[in-house]
Amino acid sequence: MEQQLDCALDLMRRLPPQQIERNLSDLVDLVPDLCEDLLSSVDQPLKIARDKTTGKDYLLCDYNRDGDSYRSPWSNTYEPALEDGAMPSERLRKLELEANHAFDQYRDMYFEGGVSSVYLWDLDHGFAGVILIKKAGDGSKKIKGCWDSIHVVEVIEKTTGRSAHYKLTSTAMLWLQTNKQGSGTMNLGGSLTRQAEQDNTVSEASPHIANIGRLVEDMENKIRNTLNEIYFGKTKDIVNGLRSVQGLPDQKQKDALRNSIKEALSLRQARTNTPAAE
Amino acid sequence: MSDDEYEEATPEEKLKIATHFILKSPNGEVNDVVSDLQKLLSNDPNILSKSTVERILRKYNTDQLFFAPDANNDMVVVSDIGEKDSSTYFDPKQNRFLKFDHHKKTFGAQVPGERKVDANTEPYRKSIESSIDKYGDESFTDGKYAAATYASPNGLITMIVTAKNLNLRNFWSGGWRSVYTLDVSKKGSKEMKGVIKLNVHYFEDGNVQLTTEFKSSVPIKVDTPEKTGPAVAAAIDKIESDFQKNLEEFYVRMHETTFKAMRRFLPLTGTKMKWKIHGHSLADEVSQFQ
Repeated sequence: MEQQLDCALDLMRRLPPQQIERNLSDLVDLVPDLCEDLLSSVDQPLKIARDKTTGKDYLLCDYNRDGDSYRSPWSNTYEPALEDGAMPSERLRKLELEANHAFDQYRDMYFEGGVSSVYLWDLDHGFAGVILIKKAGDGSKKIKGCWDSIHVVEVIEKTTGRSAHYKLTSTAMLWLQTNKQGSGTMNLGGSLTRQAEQDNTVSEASPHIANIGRLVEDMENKIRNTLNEIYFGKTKDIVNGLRSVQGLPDQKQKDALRNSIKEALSLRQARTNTPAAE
Repeated sequence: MSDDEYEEATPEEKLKIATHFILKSPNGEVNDVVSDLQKLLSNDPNILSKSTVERILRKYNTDQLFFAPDANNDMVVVSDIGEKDSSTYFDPKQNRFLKFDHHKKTFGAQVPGERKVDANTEPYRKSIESSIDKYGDESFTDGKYAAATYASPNGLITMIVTAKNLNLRNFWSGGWRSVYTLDVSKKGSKEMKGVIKLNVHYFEDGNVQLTTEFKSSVPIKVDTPEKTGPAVAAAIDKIESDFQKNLEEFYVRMHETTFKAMRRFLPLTGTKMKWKIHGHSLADEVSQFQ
């Protein structure tokens, strides 16, 4: 079974990420026994729903799903209504509410738009949670874009209660697409996954949410840089390794050189942490 | 979905899914995809039998315009238009048929026989072929690309340029396929129609793919064979150079506009967030910047 899951996950990292949802449901049809494992280990683009009570948007994923219903982090109710849907403990629900407010601010500061949701669930020696952020581009200039962040964090609380171990698995998905005359359809998209672990003290000045928040913030900053390099550097290098721009007339060569210098500069600026670079 | 409602897919449905997956394999990765699928379907080995896999790979290799070296290290293309039967392909450059193994992806022995050439079309085909070869050598990397120019009896010429850039150990691969058709049966202005397809895959701790499809249609003056060949190659060079330039622009614009607007490098404040979770302090802290 484990070998089968490995094969299924290997397939998922080879098949076109642009069709991730179809690929996943096809895979489940192929090997129904892997259904639960696949749904919990393959990240999919997030879907948005509206909380009927509060009117606020929230995000759907496998972690706030129970059967066919999804729990809203704002009203803590399931839609469609569910009598005995899984709920976090009272203590954790309090933390979940705070986390939702904190990451709402975080989302606003970094994404200046979009939707975020945080879901927590109890574990034997601590708790776990998922921080979700989705932002769709405004579709201007004929380029469609979308970003999905999925951060799964596991928190193991030490018996003293004064420190905890945090284990983070983050996936960022970035989708970019354009369709115009002259260049046809261009679709650049997919996901990157990274992990980090850390021990931290837990105190009034450094509560769980702040510890998780800093971990997620650093990770997302790092992934953003990696996305930048892979999407705008690596994939383009591979294309230019297929067909060279060298054989072209002088002017085109100069253009290409100028563009690559410009890109190298902006990459370097991005790396040196100066906000002015953007 | 609850178990009692779940209806297991039929073997036919499973084959359809497996076929779709194999045909969607990125460059250089089709054997991995087949092997994953065979392990996933190990309870039902009849679904992906050897002959079925052979049949799907034939479609994959011809769709992908696969190419491989012959015994003399000359690159030969595997395509629908050059197919004699499921394991024999025509090499227009040397007017010969070669055996091809779809699983090992290698060419074998020459098979007796040749294609009848049309006396009117063949001079055009040859001129276009040698002009495209020259263009290919200037623009594509030696050993990583192949070109083939086919003629059909009605005077239609089909030109294929296909390239692969693989480095699977470093988790990436890329492929370029372009196909053009031109009717040379009569002199005069004719539309040359073409399509360029690109796929790039990067999969180290992730799965990122670039796919593009660009269709073109340009007028070509069909003159004497000697003049038509260079005109065709020059037109293809322009189409592909322009396409690559547009791709470059797509990258720059995507980066400058969409990517930067998606998520900031740092908040507007220029510093990272201060994660103070004490009642309303966080909200207060943020609101002073708004």
